[in-house]
Amino acid sequence: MKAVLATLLATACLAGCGGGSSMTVPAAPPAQPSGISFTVFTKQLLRIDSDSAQPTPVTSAQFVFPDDDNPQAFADVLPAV
Amino acid sequence: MNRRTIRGVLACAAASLSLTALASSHREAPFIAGQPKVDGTDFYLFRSYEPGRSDYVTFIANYNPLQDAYGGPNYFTLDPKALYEIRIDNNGDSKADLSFQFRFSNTYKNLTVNAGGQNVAVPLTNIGPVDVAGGNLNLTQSYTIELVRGDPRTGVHQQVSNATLGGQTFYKPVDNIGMKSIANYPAYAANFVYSATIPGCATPGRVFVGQRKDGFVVNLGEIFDLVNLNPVGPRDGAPNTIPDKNVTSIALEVPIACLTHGNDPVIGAWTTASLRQAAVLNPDPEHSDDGDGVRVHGGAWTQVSRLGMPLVNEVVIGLPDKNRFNSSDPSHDAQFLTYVTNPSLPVLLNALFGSAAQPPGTPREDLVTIFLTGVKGLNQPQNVTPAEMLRLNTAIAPTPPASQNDLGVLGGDLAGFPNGRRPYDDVVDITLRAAMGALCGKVGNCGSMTTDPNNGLPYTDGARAAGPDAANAHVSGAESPTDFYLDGFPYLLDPFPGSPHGATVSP
Repeated sequence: MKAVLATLLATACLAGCGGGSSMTVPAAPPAQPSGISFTVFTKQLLRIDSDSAQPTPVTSAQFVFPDDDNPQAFADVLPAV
Repeated sequence: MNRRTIRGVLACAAASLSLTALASSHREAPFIAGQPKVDGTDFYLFRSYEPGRSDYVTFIANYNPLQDAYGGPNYFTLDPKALYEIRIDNNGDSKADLSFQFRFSNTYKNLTVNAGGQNVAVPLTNIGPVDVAGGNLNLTQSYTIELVRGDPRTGVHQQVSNATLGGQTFYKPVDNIGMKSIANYPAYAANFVYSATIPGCATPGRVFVGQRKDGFVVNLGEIFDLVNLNPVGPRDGAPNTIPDKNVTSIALEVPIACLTHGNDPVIGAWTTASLRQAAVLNPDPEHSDDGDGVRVHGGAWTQVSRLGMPLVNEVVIGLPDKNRFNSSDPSHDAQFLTYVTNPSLPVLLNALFGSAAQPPGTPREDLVTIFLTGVKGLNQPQNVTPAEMLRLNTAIAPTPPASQNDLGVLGGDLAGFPNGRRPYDDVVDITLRAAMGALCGKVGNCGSMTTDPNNGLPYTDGARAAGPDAANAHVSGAESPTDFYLDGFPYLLDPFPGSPHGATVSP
């Protein structure tokens, strides 16, 4: 179970953080929030319908909201169900 | 999609993630106060005192607090997206060994009327008098029950069957809309008391889920207004401040033989409610046959309510930990130990009333016994791990209703609280007296104190249910001056009707 949770959080975090390294970028890009993509995290949670699953700990999770301005966000989330 | 909308779209996942809740009483924790359908308000556990049923134990888990009977047109259904449980520890290890799990389903009929040649869906719960068949009801709520042996999530699940109707579906009566819709609510609701075949249990139990008059009696407003009352005044000198409220009960009666383990007659029990960890709000709800469509749920069951001993989360657990307590399991109760060994309530009462309320010494071994282990020789399991739950010694015979003492064990009635809890037990007065040291030295010391520092002062909130030993109890509003409870299953009175306004209920 711990492995599943770690994967879930790691996947969401990677999606939220984006790729690349600032070390290769000569000029600092616009501030990119770091953390766990709330959209990805939510999609993954919504796929879980097991009665035996354990809740995912989120006490120290830092969420980012990359879809605040995405008009398709809800439609994107629903297919996860 | 703008920022506000996306917050709405994705909102609820986080809401149920770290915020958790238990309910030891009505609206007792910050999160659960906004989630009434899963807010456990009272939990009762006692040997059945209905004649001929003393070989059974009755559990009653109340949810959805402070209902005004006229709260239509949707009234007070339970949440079909929630999991309600009654959990039982029968070997004292603080973990659930048996769990009865209740899941509800809504069936909407989409009743229509012909309006100018168009069949138009009606906005009401019913469009005519309601009978047991429910032909005029727009919504019916049904439920299933599973018995889980072992861990509530990973244990062995078995379906409880409806021995009255056949099959595995049970039905909840509609709430007491009013006397024009349901002329005789007690007779109507009686049709929804079912015999239940429990897997592995030779004798069937009984079950009822439906609206009841709230049996809890309390001087609520005054208590939370800096205990704005005389704490040593007459026990029946103040009105019950929730005399006209209804509640939704999950009542279950199970043979004792199907609950105990080995030769230990003591069981512990508590109720929980859980929601899926994530819920997504649909910003554009579609027309739906099930009346929902506004939320999409997923994720693991996440406990948001827990209730065993009354008033624990309400007046023992500190505000910052109330949500945490609601999400917790008794097996992890060590984290809350300081709240029991060093309670804040006696200190607050001392600040308010001075020498009339001397705080007992700490650590409070007496309260550890009462709340966490049970009293040796009364309701302590043979092997006990300290944990907060209601504990009942099923070997102690039930007291007939006419002889019950509402101070329970403090009043010499061993079949009452804290040996389980019956509807008639005045848990507010009992808890006040215990908190102020009534049992110091008797079931554990209070620091260096071995006697009650308040010399048996009869602390009270002043509100008391009418009953066999309180015939003159103060009644108010819609309350009946007679018995507040039924003498048989499901024990709590039928609910107040939504109309006519001010109508009473009687046993």
